[in-house]
Amino acid sequence: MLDNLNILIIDDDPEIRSYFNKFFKIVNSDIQLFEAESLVQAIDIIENQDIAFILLDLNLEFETGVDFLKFRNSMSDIKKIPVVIISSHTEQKMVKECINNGIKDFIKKPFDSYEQLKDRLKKIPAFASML
Amino acid sequence: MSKEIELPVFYEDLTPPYIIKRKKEIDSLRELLIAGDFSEIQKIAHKIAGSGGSYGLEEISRIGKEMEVASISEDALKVKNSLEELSSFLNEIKVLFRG
Repeated sequence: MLDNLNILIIDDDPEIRSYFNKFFKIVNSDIQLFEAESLVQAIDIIENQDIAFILLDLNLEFETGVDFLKFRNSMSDIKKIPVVIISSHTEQKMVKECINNGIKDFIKKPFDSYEQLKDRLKKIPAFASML
Repeated sequence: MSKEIELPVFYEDLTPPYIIKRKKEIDSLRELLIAGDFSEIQKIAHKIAGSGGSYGLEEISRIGKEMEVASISEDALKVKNSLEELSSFLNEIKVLFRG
């Protein structure tokens, strides 16, 4: 089991953040979920917390997840944090751009069920040991 | 007539507020349709399409996707039909939770 169980979710939809809050309380109550609705908030959290993993929505209110990925790649200390995209955008061009920017995986919204979401996350090596 | 949907207890404190929020959104969507603001309708429909299934309500995601596609092509009639279908679904649905 990892020592660091801090996960950051970057999503402007409070319902999705609440969903993940409940999800992680059930699958592993030791996980601490930090929430950001914008990139400014996300960067502030990353600078002040030891984040082990990032869940990122692509379609934020004022920015895109790709903006974050590009920023992340320019910062050596943030670049090492694994990122998984959670999005209903599945256009090949967008997915490819995310892959080119170093994401670990791409999970499509909506999730079929929380059990399937758990199974899906367990298949991601950087995440598996947390669940 | 109500449509009953049974969901795992996991959704007990997630799905009811989600339904309430979608109901509140219906009037805004109607106003946006009257104003011909398809861009804003598309944004909201995209979120509906991307969220409903996560709350055990795949039907909402399906309707949201149809509304999103209709708003991209600025097809007011199809947007209106999706909107009324969503409104009916939200008013008729009764969610039960199993432990």
